[in-house]
Amino acid sequence: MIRQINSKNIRYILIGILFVIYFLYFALLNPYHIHYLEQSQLFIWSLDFLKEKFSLPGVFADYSGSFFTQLFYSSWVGAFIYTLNAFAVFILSLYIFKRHNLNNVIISFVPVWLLAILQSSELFTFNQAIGFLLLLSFFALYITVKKTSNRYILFFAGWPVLYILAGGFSVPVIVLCILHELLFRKEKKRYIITVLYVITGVLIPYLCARLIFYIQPDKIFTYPVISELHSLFLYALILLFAWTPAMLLAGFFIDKAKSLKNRLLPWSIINVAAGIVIIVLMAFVIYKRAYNKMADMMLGVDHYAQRADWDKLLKLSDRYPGYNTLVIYYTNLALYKSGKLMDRMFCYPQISSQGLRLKWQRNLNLFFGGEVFSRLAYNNESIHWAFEALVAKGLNPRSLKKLTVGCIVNGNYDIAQKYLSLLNKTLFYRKWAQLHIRYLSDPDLMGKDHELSEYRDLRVNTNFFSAVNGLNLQDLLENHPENKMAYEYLLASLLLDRNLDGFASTVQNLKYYGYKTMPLHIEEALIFYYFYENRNMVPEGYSFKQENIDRFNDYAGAYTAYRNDRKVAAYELRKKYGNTYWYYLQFPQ
Amino acid sequence: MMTRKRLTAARIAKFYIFCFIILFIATSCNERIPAYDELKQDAVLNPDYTSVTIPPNIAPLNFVVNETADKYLARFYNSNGIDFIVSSGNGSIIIPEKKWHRLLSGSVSGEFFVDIVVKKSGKWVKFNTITNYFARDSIDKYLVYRLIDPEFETWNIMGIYQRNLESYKVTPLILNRVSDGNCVNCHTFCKNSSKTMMFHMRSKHAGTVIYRDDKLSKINTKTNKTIANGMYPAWHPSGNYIAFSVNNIVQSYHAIPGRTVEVYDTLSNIVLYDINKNVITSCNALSDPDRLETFPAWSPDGRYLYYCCAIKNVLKQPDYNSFMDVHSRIRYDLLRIAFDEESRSFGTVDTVLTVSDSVSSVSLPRISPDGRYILFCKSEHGNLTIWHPETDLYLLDLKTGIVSRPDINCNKTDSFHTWSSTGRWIVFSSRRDDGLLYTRPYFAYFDTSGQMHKPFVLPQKNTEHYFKIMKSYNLPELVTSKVELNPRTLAGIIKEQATNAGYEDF
Repeated sequence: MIRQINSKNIRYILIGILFVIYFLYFALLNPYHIHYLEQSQLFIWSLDFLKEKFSLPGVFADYSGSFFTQLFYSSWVGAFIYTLNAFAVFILSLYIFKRHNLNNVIISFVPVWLLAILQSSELFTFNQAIGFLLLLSFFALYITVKKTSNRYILFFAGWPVLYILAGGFSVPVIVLCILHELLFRKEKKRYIITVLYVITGVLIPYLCARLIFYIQPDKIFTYPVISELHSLFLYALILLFAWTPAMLLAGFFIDKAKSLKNRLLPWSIINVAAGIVIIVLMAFVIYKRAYNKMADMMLGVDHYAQRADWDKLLKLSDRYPGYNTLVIYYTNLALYKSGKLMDRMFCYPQISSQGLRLKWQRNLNLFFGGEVFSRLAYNNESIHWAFEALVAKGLNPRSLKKLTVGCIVNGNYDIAQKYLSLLNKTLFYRKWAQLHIRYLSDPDLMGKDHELSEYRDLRVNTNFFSAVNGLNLQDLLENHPENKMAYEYLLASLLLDRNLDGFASTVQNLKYYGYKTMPLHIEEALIFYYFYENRNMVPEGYSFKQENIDRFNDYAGAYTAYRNDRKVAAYELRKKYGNTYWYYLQFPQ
Repeated sequence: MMTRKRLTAARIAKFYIFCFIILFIATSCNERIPAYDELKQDAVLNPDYTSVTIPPNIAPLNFVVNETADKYLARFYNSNGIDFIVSSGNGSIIIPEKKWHRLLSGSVSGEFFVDIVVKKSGKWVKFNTITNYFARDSIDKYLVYRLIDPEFETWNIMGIYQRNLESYKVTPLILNRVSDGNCVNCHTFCKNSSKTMMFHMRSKHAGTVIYRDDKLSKINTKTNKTIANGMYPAWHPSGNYIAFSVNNIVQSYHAIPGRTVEVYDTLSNIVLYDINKNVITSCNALSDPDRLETFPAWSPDGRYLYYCCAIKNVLKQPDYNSFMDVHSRIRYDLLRIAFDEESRSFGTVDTVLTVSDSVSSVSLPRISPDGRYILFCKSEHGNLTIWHPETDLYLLDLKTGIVSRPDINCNKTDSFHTWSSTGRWIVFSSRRDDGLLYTRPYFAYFDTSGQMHKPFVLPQKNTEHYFKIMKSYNLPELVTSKVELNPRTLAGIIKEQATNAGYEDF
């Protein structure tokens, strides 16, 4: 006789553990994904914002998705919201499947698992999750209605509303309702009703597109369901939609095979053990295939850059394996901001001076790439990138803040006011907006804002055109020789491009920037230059340290020993000198 | 069952309630200006609708009184006894449409007045009376424009809309969300007629969509003999030809505050597209390898094609350091070339206006419907002058040869302009509101003596509209009647493959 686990408490505990794991997966392993989603959009507390959502189907999914996403300002709150949503999906699935002869926790947990896979991608916004929840909610309500005529009325009156509220997420509901009627109800009219349901499902979107919405004809039945996913995430999305109808079919057939039903569904020890194995496999799939640690770290680097938490950024960068242009770009920025660029930049992967900025491309680069210009006080270019990011991504707090600062620095208070009025209607940026609004009415207050003061002091006054893939560092220095970041970045770019002649010339101005001693990589470069060019280009007031000369002599000796085999030389020298400029200079990656 | 006493009491109560309602409505409708002190200063209105000349068929000019007060009253009246008051608690004056149209239609003297009275610290004060004027000449009923993000390089959501100027109703002509997010641009009409128009699409589903004789067609204007797709268009008044510029455009970005984008052509010519034959042609004068020809505009009789022309050899110095200096020397003059419609041939070239010998450049010439005037943009150099803060509108009187700078300009960009069908109104794009980014459409009356009157911005129902909207109004065009196109009717042609235009040698 199969032993049953009858205790409901144990079931609840097991289910509870699953959702705690779900929560921790997002809170601990995907916090930066959550932060990124919050940064990528803006929820505005205004009637105009709500009205805009009515221009396309999926109003409620879009609006409420945006509402909740603003709370992702805290990744823990975001993870909690994810978990609540997943739990709601689970409860609804459990209810639906129970009503269709499939009272099984694992089967009901599959949609949650698929959601976890999908939400591991930063492309899957919370609007999508809400849309799916609406789909299940309507169907759950539908099957709850006992009286047949009321059920039909609910569909014909309610489904059009669902279409407006959830858009393409409402279409699978038709399939579910049809399956429910055909397989689980005995009404004589069910075949006619099926046809009428299909007609409704085609006619309503068509009429909405003709009368209400301006929407591309090929998107009438799918918008706003995301379509830009690929590989595992695409399969997960397809399975997410297909699962419930498939289980309805399974429930129909399993009811016919009572012995199978009795074996598979109860809470027997064997079934629980099998369930645990399945859960572990699910977790394995998520961890191995869906969870993208590198992507999360990359987004983490961006997150810390936004918070100006340079130490944490560098710690994360230390752990990042391999070469990533975004990580390199932010790492260099963090190194400068923490005063370590000229001492430690070659302790991190570098890719020539292209690692100091991102390429201008119509992709996520627009969103991340403006940071360096903002920090360089290259104000117009910061505005340029922020504006392009705003256009490409839509309203988002980061771009609006950058634009506000840029416009204030340039004296375009009218335009700054425009952006501030939007931020003033948000939950988490209101204070920042109000502070900056005060600056507009009392510009003298700006003097107390360190960031604004610095940028205003370094405002460009002699015009030049932006370089396509450069940083215009020479131009910035011609405008303001005191722009220390421009100077250090110029030195860095010369070192990274292995332009030692240019570097030796430029480094002569070192003392004007307050360096008490020569930073390490500068010294390394000048030692190398002295060794090979026999020219002492040490700036006035500085000298080589004996320990660095000794280190170079060791390096040169080792290099000479391995010079017949560059591969071996690269490998051997990397162990001890991989974080020196000499190694970077002689062994390009 | 009610007693007689109760019935009588109920009737009396109903009667009193009825009287109260009538009294309430009557007193509400007849708000009066209370006693006030004269401030002897002008009220600041936003938008600035003071001393403007407006058409008789324009929607109400709602505005905000930019004064801090507890209550606001705006009295509108004319010399014919039309008199009404609009009150507000926050300074936003929303004028009832019916009363507005009665005000304008009932005025014989051509002017109406606005008194602004506000309550501050318990006292009412009145600002100087505002006198506004309206012309007898109506304005074309519709304004067609594109709403775009003030473009650096990237675009996302955009659309071309038509606004009924007699009300606030706006309907979309084309929204790029029904065309896979491509770029829709350069909408142009033939003689302000809604029946003949075209626009371009770039990126996905690229092509030029032409609407003529109630038919839609989509053309690929790039041929192997031309340098690019057709760009800046100009309809020949017959509706049988479109002159296009074909341009190789480069964009750069300034570093100093107050400047943003610089757009210039490294190559540009003008070609003629014969719609009936689906061929493109040109002539030597319009495709001179040593010159940059652009911004075509036809004379109303179709006998001349006006265009802007600059010397190109200044660009043969691709040295980065001097590039800014080089491009700032690209200056366009205004030329015209004779055109014979029957033979579809071009004739001699005349120089209409030379400005390149000074620090000036002409762009966007537009000839008035009576053929007498040319309204154009003048800037220090270059051509896409919406990005030049110094750009102003200038008027050339072809009869006298006099060039004047109308008073409609401000010290910020005033650019892209078109004439109404009667030539009595112009609409132009101005960045006077914020000075840099967001373009707004302004109207100005051009009277029969050749004078421009003070411009006013397109009125909106919501007085905060221009503050809130994050888009620029681009390419405003006046059209006499409603364009019978919308995104749904255009959905079919959008995805069609464009028909290739042929090329015929001149």
